[in-house]
Amino acid sequence: MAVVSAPDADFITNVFGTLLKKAGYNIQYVHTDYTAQFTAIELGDLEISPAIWSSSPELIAAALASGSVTKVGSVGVKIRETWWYPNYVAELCPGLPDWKALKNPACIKALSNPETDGKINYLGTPADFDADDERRIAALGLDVHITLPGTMAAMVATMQGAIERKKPIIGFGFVPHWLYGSGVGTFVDFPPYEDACRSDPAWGVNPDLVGDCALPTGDIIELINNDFAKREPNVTGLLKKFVLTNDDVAWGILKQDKGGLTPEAAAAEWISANEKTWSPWLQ
Amino acid sequence: MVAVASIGFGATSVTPLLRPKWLRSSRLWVAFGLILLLAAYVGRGVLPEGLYVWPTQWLLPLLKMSNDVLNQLLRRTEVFGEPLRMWTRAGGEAIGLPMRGLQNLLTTGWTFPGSTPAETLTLPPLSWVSVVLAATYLGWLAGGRRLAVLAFATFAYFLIFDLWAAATLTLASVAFAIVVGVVFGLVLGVMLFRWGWLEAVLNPVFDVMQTIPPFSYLVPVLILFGFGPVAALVATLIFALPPMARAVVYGLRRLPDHAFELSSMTGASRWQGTSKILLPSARDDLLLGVNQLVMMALAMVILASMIGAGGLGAEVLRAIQSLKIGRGLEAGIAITLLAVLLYGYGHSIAVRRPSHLSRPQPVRHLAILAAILIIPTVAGIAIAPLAQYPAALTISTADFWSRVISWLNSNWGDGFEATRLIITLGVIRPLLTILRDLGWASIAACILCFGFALRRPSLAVLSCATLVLIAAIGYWDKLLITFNLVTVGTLLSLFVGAPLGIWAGSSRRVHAVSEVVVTTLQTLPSFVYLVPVVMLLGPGDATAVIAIALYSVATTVRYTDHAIRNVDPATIEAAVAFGATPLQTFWKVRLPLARPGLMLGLNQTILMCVGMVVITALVGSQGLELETVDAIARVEAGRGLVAGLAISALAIILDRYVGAVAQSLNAPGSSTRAKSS
Repeated sequence: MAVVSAPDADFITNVFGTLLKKAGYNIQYVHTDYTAQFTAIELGDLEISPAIWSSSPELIAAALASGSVTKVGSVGVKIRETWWYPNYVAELCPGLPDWKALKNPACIKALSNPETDGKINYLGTPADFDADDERRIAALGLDVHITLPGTMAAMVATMQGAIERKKPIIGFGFVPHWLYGSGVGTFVDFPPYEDACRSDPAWGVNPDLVGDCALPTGDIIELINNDFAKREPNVTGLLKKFVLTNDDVAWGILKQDKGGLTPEAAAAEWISANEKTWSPWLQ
Repeated sequence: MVAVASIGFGATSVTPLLRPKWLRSSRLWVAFGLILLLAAYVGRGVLPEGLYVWPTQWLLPLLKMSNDVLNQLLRRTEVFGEPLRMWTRAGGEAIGLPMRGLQNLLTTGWTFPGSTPAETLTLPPLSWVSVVLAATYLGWLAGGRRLAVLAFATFAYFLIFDLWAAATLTLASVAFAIVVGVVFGLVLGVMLFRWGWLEAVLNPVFDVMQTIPPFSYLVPVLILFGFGPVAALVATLIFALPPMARAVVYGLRRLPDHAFELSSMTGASRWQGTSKILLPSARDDLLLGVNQLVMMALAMVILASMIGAGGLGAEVLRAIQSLKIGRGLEAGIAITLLAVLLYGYGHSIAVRRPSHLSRPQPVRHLAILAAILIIPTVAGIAIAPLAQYPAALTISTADFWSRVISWLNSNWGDGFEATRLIITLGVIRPLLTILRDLGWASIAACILCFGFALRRPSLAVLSCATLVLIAAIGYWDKLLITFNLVTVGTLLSLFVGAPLGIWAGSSRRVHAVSEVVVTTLQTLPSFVYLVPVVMLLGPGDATAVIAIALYSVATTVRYTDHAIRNVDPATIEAAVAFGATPLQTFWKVRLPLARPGLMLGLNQTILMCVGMVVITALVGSQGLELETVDAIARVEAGRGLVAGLAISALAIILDRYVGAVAQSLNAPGSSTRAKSS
């Protein structure tokens, strides 16, 4: 199983790993890069990954298309991903979290910097996220310059650095996450997602362009290597029953971030506190 | 301690004889090249736009093709009825077997799975007491008290900062990678030395191996060697082997004739001659290679942890990704300590002279070692604190470092912001605009002219063709962005590093301090300081340039220091005797005499900048380096490889041109010859 050095995913992985151990399996955790795990699971170097964000659709599609990976189901945790701002920004842009507040000239000025030609400086996503920001900006007629952060670590570091200085900032965010879920900020409300938003230009605020809506809410999904699933059908069964809530994961993240626990320790604590939840899964 | 940072690509020299007449007038060619550039710059808007931006309809579909070819090769090719990857994996596993043994011994212990947990047999790893004592004892045997103290301090650091498991895992894999690297490097080096024709084949391959960003071959390595320490080993060797092999060739070539005469006179067989006479005589140069190997193997620790090697690299990644900067720094320093210690061992073993007075007592040493290893480990089964270092005795400085960054951020934040704006708006963007306005055609043509001016027609034609090819596959603009970052990074690094190096070169005390700082900067994983820099400066080009400069400034300082220090003191004394003032001595004597060394330093600085440019994709730079990272995320291994090769081409072209300029500067006329050690 893969651990990817992110508190949220590693918590889920460790909880499931501990359950498998209780069911009598030997577990080996492999430290990997989030992106690299897809190749690994395709080739059977990794057997299960219970914490895949549905927001990397191309990687998932490629893995499924290879024919050696199956999507078992979802962990039950809902992902919210969209633009996010620290709470003090609301004073500069009255009307937030409604997205229309971003059209207010005073707000644009406050969120811009000399590098962005008077546009809002928006902190975008790493390369492997499918945030659809360009189409959204065009379709909603926003005055926004996208600054790319390169990696998730850099994206979060930039946000955290700005928050420490109370500097006006807006950027991509998602939950479950230790910073974006911590209550210091709020998500922008864009028109809710519908499939028609991406296919039918007439849909939504802008009659001429597609993309004038938020991102769909995503899931955390579980992938399994086919050969392994054939060898150990029981694991697939357990994986199907395995469900966590957003609160569980938020709790796990908090334990690691503020409590200083390792993902293993946080998972162990969850397991001992929630026996009622997981004991039926093992039968 | 760690000596010189890196060695050059052994610039191939062209025979100075028989050059066609039209190549002789260098100045004319330079002038012609410059005129072309100027014409293109002024003529933008008048001249056809296709000369500036490669027309879309003429783009070569090389990227898509490379994806398909690579996919076919890696996933579907069969050899003797088995997929190719089965063979490579089996081979990899066999090579990696000793490494797994070492890891079991040091970190994980052994587990023999039975059908039920009760039947599963586990053997514990060595006790920490054993490892610390054994490392110290070995240090004492190999290098005396100094090395023993260093070894003890290093392992104590791992324990105190609660990094034991991670550090011993990394130690096992890196130590093994170094041993394999030394063996392969020696074999390859001797082969290259014995058969000159091999060099023509392998030299370009080595150049590419050394300069291609590891990201771009990550996916192929993963597929061929599976996930885990073996893949990490392969990736490390691709990167770290060439300097070792080159150091071997270089060392053997520099040997005086009498070493070879001795070899044949004593009637030594070929193997004896090589192993007993030639290689030991070339020791200093080999050590330089080993030094490189250690540095590069440790530089790959982070990347190795991305493909399943775990250890300290994973510790750094985990800490940095949740912005626990202090923890990342602690783990990063552990990597640095490991580098210094491993090099210390290698160095001591290599320079130890066999003594005829005191006979070595292998039996006694082995007995002591065995006792050290076995007694605490066995005792550890009964006494838990011996098996596992008590957690109560660990400390952490993590909070302190996080507070330092926060403090800097809240108090000096505006200053950092202003710095970023100056760098981006004042330097990076204007330069990029100029480069774009020159266009691919004039730059490629100008490179051709400069190559002729340097009297290297084949280099000129090849470089020009490579540039045109890069433009033709649609990477011109990205190449410019990357080149721009490298240029600004190099300038910044020279601006800061050259004065520091001169200072260190003329004072012993400063030299001692700078050695420590430089070694730390070079072995500390860049990820550790990259993310704090992002917190202070935000993502983007300014951060990228500063990160590049932070890394490469170490090289600048070291080479400048070395060059200034190595000027013949007799010449300086003569100058002083003739009544030269200190300033005159410096500008008129010391600096000119140090020029070859300084040029080598410039060359190395540029290469380090190109090497670092890949990492800047992690903080939001957008050139070729982004392509290599982005391609992995989009499962296009071929595209990543091509972008990597383009970066590699940029590095090689820069290296060759700077090398050629350096050579033509100290060609006839100056009496000092470059000695690149």
